[in-house]
Formats: sequence, C-alpha cells, structure tokens
Amino acid sequence: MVEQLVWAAIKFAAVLGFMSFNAIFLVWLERKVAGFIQYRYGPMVTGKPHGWLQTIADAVKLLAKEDIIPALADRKIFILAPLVMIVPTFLLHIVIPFGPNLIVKDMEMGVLYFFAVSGFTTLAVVMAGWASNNKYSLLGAIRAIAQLIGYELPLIISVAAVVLLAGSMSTQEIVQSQASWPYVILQPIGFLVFFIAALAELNRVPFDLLEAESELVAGYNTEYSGMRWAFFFLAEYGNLAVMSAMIVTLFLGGWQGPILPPLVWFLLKIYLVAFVIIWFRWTFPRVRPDQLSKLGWKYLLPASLVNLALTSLYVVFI
Amino acid sequence: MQYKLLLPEITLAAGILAIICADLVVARESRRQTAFGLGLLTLTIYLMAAAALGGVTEHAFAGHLLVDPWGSFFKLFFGVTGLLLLFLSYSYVGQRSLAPAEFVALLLGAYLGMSLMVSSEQLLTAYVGLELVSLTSYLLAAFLRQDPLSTEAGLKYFILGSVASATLLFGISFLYGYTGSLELATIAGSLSTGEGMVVIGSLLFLCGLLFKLAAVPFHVWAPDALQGAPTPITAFFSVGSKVAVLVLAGRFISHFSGVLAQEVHYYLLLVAIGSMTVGNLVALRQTNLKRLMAYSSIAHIGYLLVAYFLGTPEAYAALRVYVGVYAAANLGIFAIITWTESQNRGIEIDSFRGLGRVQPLFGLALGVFVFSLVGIPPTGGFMGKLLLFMASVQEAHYILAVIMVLNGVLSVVYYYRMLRSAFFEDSEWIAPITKNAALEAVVLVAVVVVMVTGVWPGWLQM
Amino acid sequence: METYFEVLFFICAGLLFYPFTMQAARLFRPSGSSARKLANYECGVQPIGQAQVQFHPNYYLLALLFVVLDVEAVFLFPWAVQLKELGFFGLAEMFVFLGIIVVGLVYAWKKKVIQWQ
Repeated sequence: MVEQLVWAAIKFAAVLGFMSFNAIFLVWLERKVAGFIQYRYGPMVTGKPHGWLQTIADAVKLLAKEDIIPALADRKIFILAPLVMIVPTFLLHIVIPFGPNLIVKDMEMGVLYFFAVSGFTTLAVVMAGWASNNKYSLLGAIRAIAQLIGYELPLIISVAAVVLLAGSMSTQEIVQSQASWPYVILQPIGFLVFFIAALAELNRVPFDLLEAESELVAGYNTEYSGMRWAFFFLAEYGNLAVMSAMIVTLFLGGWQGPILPPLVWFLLKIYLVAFVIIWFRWTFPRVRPDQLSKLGWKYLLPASLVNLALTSLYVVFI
Repeated sequence: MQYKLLLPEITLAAGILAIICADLVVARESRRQTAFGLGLLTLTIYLMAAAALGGVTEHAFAGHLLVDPWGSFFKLFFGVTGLLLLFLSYSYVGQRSLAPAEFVALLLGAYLGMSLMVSSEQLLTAYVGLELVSLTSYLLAAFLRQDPLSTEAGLKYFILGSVASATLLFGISFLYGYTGSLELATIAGSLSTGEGMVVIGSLLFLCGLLFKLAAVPFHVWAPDALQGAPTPITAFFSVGSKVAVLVLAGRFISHFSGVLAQEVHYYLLLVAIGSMTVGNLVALRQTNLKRLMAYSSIAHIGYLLVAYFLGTPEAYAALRVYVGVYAAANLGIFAIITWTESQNRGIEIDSFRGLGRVQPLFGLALGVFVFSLVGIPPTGGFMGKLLLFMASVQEAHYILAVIMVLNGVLSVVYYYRMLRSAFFEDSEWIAPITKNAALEAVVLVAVVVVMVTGVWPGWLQM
Repeated sequence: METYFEVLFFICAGLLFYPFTMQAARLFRPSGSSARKLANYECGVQPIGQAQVQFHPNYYLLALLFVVLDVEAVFLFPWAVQLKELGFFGLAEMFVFLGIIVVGLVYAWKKKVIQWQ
C-alpha cells in the first residue's frame, strides 16, 4: 500500500514536471515560431541565447500577482473553475504511453477514459464564463459550448475507427499494433478529422473563437488574473501536449521508431505535432461561428461516420 | 429465428423512420398525404404481422420478449385503433396545419412502445416500452404549440408522468433488489406470500401504473392533460396508452396474485370503486366535452380494474369485450367531437346542439355510443358490463356488483346530457356544413363494432 | 479498484494542488484591492446590468443532439473492440443502429438545428 502510494506520488510528480515543462517550453516555442514566421526575433533579452528564461520569468511574475475576484462574480464557481480545468489535465496524462513501460497506468479502456475525462474542459469553460459575470466571458463560454460539443463527436468517432483496427482500447496495445504501419496511412480520413477536431477541442487557431482576442478580449478567462489565470494557462498548454501525444499515439505510431530510444521518439513526435499546431496559428485566419458549426456537424461528423463504416467493413471482410 | 417474433415492432420502427425520411424529401404540399399514407401502410403491415403471430406462445431474446395470444389480441386491438386514429386525425392535422410527419411518427412511436409493453413479462423491457409511450405522449399532448391549454397539458402530463415513472422504477428496483430477477414469473416464483419488501415494491410499481391509468387517487392530471391535448390525441390517450398500461398491470397482477398480501388486492378494489364513483360523480358537473370524456374514462378504468381484482378467467374474458367496446364507442364519440370542432363549434356539450338535425348519421351514432357507454342493450357496452357483473356475482362479491350497477345509473345522467343536446335542443349552424368521409368511416366502423358485439360478444374472445 | 488507484490519487493530488499553490502564492503576492479594481472589465467603462443572460433555445436542441450522439459513441467502443469476433452479425447490428442515429442527424440538419442563428 505504502509502496503503491509512493509510486503514485512519483508518477504524479513526473506528470506535474512534464506539464510545467510543457507550459514553459511550448510557450517559448510558440513565441519563437511566431517571431520567425513574422520575420522578427521574439523574446531575446531574458536568458541568453534566444530568451529561454523569458517564460520562467513570466511564471514568477504570475506567482507574485494580486488575486482579483470581481465583485459581481459568482464567487464559488469562479474559484472552482480553474480546479475543474486543471484536474482533468492531470488525469489525461495517465494513459499517455511514453515508452513500452513508461506509462502511468495502461488501462484496458484507456482511449474511452481519455475522451470521457477530456469532456470536463467544456464544463470548466462554461463555469468560468458564467461565473465571471462579464459579457465577453459569457460570449466566450456560449461559443465554447457550441464548439466543444460539435467537435467532440467527430473526434470520438474517428477514434472508434482506430479502435476497430487495433481491436483494443488500451493505448499501449494501440501503439503496439502500429509496429508495421502507423494508422495515419490506414486511416487518412480519420487522421484528418481527428486532427481538425483536436484543434477545435484545444481552442487553437483557426478555432479559437471562444477567446478571440480581437473581439472578446480574452473570452472566458477575461476576468481571471494572476495564479488563477495561470491554471487555465497551464491546463491549456498541458492539453496541447496531451492532445499531440494522443495524435501521436493513435495515428503516428506512438513511441515506435528505429535506432533512437522510444521516449526520444515519442517526445520528438509530440513536439513535431505541437509545432505544426503552433504553425497553424500564424498561418490561418479564424473561422466564423456559422462556419464553425457547419464544418463540425455537416462535414466532419458525416466524414467520421463514413470512415467508421468503411473501416468496419474492412475489418470484417478483409 | 427470433426476429420473426419481433416483426410487428420492427415494422413500426421501420415505418417511423420511413415517415421521417420521406418528410425530408417530399414537397411541402404533399407532406400530409405522404405521412398519413405511410402511417396507414405501416399499421396495416403491423396488423398482418400481429395476426400471423396470433396463435404463437414463445419466449425470445433471453426472456425479454414474450409473444402470447393475450398480447397478440391487444396488438391487433392497437393496430385497429391506430388505423382509426389516423383517419380521425387526418383532417384535424390539415386544418390546424400541424407538422404531419412528426404527428404520425410520434403516434406510431407510442404504438411501438405499447406493442413492446404488451409483449413482455420482463420488467425492464416493459419499462422501456412504457417510457416510449410516455415520452411520445408528452410531446403529442403539447402538439398545438400556439395553444396555451395544450402547452399546459403537455407540461402537467410531463411533470406528473415523470414522477409516476420514477415511482414505477423505484418499485422495480425493490423487486429486483430483493429477488435478483427482472422476470415476473421468476420474481413471483421465488417469493412467499406477503413479504414486506415485495409488498412495498409491488405497491410502488402498481401506483406508478395506476398513475398512468389515471385511476382515482392518481387521476388529477388526466382532465387537464386530456382537455388541452389535440382532440385525436385525447382519443388516443383514452383508448391507446391506457389499454397498454392496463395489460401490463394485468400481467403483473396475474403473476403476483398468489404472493401479494390480501391487503394489496383490497387496495386494488378500493382504487377500482373509487375510480368508478369519483369519475362518474365529477363528470356530472362537466360542460367541456373533453373533460367529460376524461372523467368518464376514469370511471371506465374503474370497471376494468374490477376484472383484475376478480382475476378469474371469466373476468379476463369480460375485460376483452369491455375494452373492445369501450374503445370503439370512445373513438366514435371523439370522431364526432372532432367533426363538430372542425365546424368551429367548440368542444362544449352545447356544441352538439342540433347535431341530430344537421348530421343525422352522427346523431344516431352518438346515441349508439352513449347507450353502449352506459350499458343499455342491445349494444356491446351492455355485454361488457353484463359479463363483468356476472363474473363478480360468481365470486360472491354482491356489494361490488351493486356498486357497479349504481354507477351505471349515475353515468346515465351526464351521458344523457350529450344526447339531449344533440336531439332536443337546437341552435343555428352558421358555417357551411362540410362532410368528412374519413370521420364518417370511423364512426361507421365504431357503430358496427358496438352493435355486433351487442349480439355476439364472442368475436372479441376468439 | 486496482486499475483506478492512480486515477484516484491523481484526482486527490490535483484537488490539493490548486489550493496549495494559491496559498503558496499568497506569500509573494500583494493584497488589498480597490472597488475599481474589482469591477468587471468592460473596456474601461462601468459595466451595465448583469451579464448572465439566457442562452438561445437552439443550444438545448444542439445539446440534445450531442447527448444522443455521444451516448451512441459510447456504445461504439465496446463494439469496436469485439467486432472481429462478432463478425458479420455485429456489423449488421451496428449499421442498423447507426442508420437510425443518422436519420436523426439528417432530420436535425434539415430542420436547421445545426445552423448558427
């Protein structure tokens, strides 16, 4: 029992470290990539070379910021929302296979667990938006519902096709079943649908309507500041890394790869996917709300259903 | 092949899907024809499938489904009433420009639920069927979206109906928790008489069903729901969903009659007598036709519950005749109400004034139906009451028989007011009177059923 | 229980992590706010009225559609794992199920539930 607890604590610490690293590294990466794409330098001063200390300095700044809860806000929900956001992010890391034996817990129904837990994000966003009692926040939350709802289905259904091929919901077994071919080759439609839907679930450009800074200030977390805001931030980048990891696990062969050790392969792939997602941000314009729901319900959902049907035919007859 | 046994239900489900799909592609003008046409087709196939399974007694799908003659009789009954209801509502839907596909699909959805209910002795399947009926009923009750009364009906029905469903489910959980089985026969077999948990469980279960039946202590929702609902749906509530619930209650009681405490039986008797008396007494004061029919149906449910209290084969045979005739007479009256309503005369008893002069067919038919509901020979209603009366005398329940007769006398008073309005009072019919072939057909069929049963009740017992 | 021990631990740890960090940050951060600072942000002007408005009813339709399809998705997973063993029978069953769901989706689509208004 004690041993189990200690192990769990070590695993939690590792996940926490991974998340913190992601928040710091991915933000730095995002700024740098933005800089290069936009023909400028990005952070250069704090920490040389290339301002690598900048995001750590930002984290320290956030820690020292005043805790402001707006007078009109719904206090309890306002305080709870970051909690609802951050806990599922921890939980999502449990089923990510970093290597053949490097996983917090290989569950028999890992994939289903992953998407069940990731559904909490919507709740947190709605809580934050509603409790803030701010017009921008609520607009952000309202858009968030439509968006997260509309894109969760294609996401899940395209995963079902992968599960069909692998014959298992365990993330480890899915990775192992990709020893010869990664599923991106067998499941091109599924991969495309999943990738687009994942972008929407992550609220990344071109689907960042719920925090469109040019119209909604910051969307659902307008009223959040200091550490409370930092939790949203941490969760957001944690989710970005976790979703990239899921894309890698489901479609890109996970930790499989020649020569290099599995962990290195896995991290390389994750950050490659994360890089592509960041690249999108500085390339694509934001979609309109009507286009958003149209794309999700009228294109991605039917596409994922067709993909599922084709895959099931393939599994049964070939 | 097990699926053969499920053929009637599969037909209905396929029909519903076909109606919804057809509605999406057909031009707006022909939507009503398409929906009702497909509805008629579906119910006809349903009838044939149910008739083909008429003599079969078989369990299927691990006990979830039971096909037996008792259930098949009611499936045929549902098929016929469903067809009549479609005829009844065709012009109504057109006149009010209601969404036809949704109307027919929801109605057939309710029939699917009813069909499941009567073909199961497994509590979970029965519950799913019951919920299907309930959910579609809530929607149908609120189908006149612009009408505040209809919305009120839907809302009241929904809130109170959910409570009933919860009670029912709670009862099921007691029975399941205590015996570890969901099948009525197994549950009843593993019990000895009067065990406390079972009494609680079966009382909760029965209360849920009695609620859906609108039997007396649980009847308060019924008049409001039946008054506000569209007239064809009011007809459906009084002859469709209630009968299915009645069958389920019957299956439950017949299995449990041995193990239920005597008190539960007397509780049932109390409910039966209460329903009869309260229904008839309150009906005396009604002026709105739909409310009047609602209370009258409460009263008739009381008579039908007597059959379950008695529990003899004679009583069950009487029940079939009673249900058949009651449904025919009720559908007939509702067809006439639908017609007077379509002539912009409202749904008060006074709306019938001059009916005998303007539409002699409907006037005469109204007479037949009223005679039948009261129980005057040579109509079928007399036969139903007589058989029930004899069954109770046979079991030496003389006081019960007397109460039933007294109630019959009581009901004469308010039914007579309908007749008086139709024949002995007159008023101006302003609008040009339009005939409606579909409604006339319904009325004729109902008259034939009522009269034939009056002389030969055996055909309903085959 | 054995499977979910880590999950339980992560939930507890996560629940503690947030208040713990908030308390720790208290050591560094200044406190004491003015009424101005606690006002809701509305581009610098005084906020007018409550922001907690009613949602468009269309959201409920969308949510219903979502619930139906999401529950369907949950059914998909066990089926997907077992399909190789179930063979053609499982395939046919699921196609019927999906067919019914798709009819619902098409219906909602045609009735403009999905359209942003």
